[in-house]
Amino acid sequence: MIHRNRNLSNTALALYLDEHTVSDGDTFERCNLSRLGQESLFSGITGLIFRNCNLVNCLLPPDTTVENCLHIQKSFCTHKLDEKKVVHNLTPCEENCSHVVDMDEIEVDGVVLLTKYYYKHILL
Amino acid sequence: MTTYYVDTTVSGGLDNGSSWANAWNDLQAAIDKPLAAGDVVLCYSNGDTNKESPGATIDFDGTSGSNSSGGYIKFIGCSTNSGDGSPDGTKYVLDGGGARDPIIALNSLRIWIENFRFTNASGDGVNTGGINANIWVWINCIFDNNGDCGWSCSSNSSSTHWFIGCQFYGNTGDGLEAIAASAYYTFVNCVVYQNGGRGIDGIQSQNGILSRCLIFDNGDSNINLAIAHYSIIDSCIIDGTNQSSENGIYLGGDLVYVFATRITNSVNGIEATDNLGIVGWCLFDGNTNDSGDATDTLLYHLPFQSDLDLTSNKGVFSEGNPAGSTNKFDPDTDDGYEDATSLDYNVKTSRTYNGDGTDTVGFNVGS
Repeated sequence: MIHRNRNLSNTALALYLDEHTVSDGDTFERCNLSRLGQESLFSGITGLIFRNCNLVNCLLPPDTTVENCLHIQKSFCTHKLDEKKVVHNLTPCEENCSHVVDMDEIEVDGVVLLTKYYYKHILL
Repeated sequence: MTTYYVDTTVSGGLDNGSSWANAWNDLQAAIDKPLAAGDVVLCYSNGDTNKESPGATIDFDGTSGSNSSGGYIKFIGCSTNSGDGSPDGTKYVLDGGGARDPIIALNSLRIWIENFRFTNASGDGVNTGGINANIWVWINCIFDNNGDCGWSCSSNSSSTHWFIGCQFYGNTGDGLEAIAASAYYTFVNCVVYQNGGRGIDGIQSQNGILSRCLIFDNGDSNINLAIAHYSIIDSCIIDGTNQSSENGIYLGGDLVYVFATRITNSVNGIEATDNLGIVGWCLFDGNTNDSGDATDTLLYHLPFQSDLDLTSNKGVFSEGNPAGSTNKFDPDTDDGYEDATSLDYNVKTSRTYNGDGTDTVGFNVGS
């Protein structure tokens, strides 16, 4: 079966799987399966093929074929997402999280009154 | 005004951009030259066959047209690498290979980008990087399958961008994200779909315009006008099929006008959160709530009936209730999209998604 032209990002995949079945050897074409946090998809299903898909943060079965897809793992910093976008399987970051790339400190009489952090999403 | 040439397939030439035979191999080489207002750079990559995979983010820093004379510097994707390049919509493809974040960064004025595709960036396909990028025109461009947003304007101000016939799809984040204040965006005949985040996020601008656009099946709200004021949405199709919990249009600013637009299958067709919106002659169908919730007390709907008499200012506004602004008064029992009676306006819309660049939006309002 070919699953084509679908937005299956984040929670949309679960909705899709409520009505569709993915079987061994199925093909996905031009689908957006990207997730904000890493997630294992289609565990136990073999021979899947993905063409021209967005597979950001998708962990796929080992025998999967990936053709002309964006398949990267990326750690999104929740400080750079507005509150409504922190969804699905993404854990809110601490203030001084691993995404900090720079910081400014405001000192008065040697006492740090305020620290401003600058964040960036990180490729894994 | 001079024509220059970029060709990813050429070899053995002088690499000075003076002709197809002596073309530059990559876009950055052209940008690094002292281009002048009015210059045209013809770019050939034979679509996906010989796409450019830039080794670093392409930086437009300082390459500018002119506001006073000469106008834009134009970069135009071509279908052939001979003569005038025969531009027919074939894209010059910039493929980030999952390593470029973003593919292009902008910091210049009066640039015209036509027939380009920005794909597979690890971050945004295009990002202004918080610096000034003013009065850009994007025609027939595709921003797809990028690791964050298709196109992003993070923090610069006084930025004006026109998007004509562009597509934003399959990106991890928003199709287009415009966080900047005092930015001015116009979308005409654009298609924004199947992005993981919002379709169009936060046109926090004054006077944003979306006309004849098709926006559907995004992971979050299709259009989010967080603090936008004085914006106009007209003759668009906004559909929330496959979206589980979000809005067709979110209005976070005052005086947003939504006219002749089909808003369907969303949780909230329009969510206005107590901001002033004027809605007229739209079609709402299949939404859980056509007009948000009870807090939308400043969302006004123009009536659909023929008793709207503008000459004597007798128009009846219905407050917080979309019933007057749709063709739900249509007496027929069919879907109401194509009916023609003397008592109502009718909205006929259709969308055809072919997935091969020939998507169409059909739209008509009649009576």
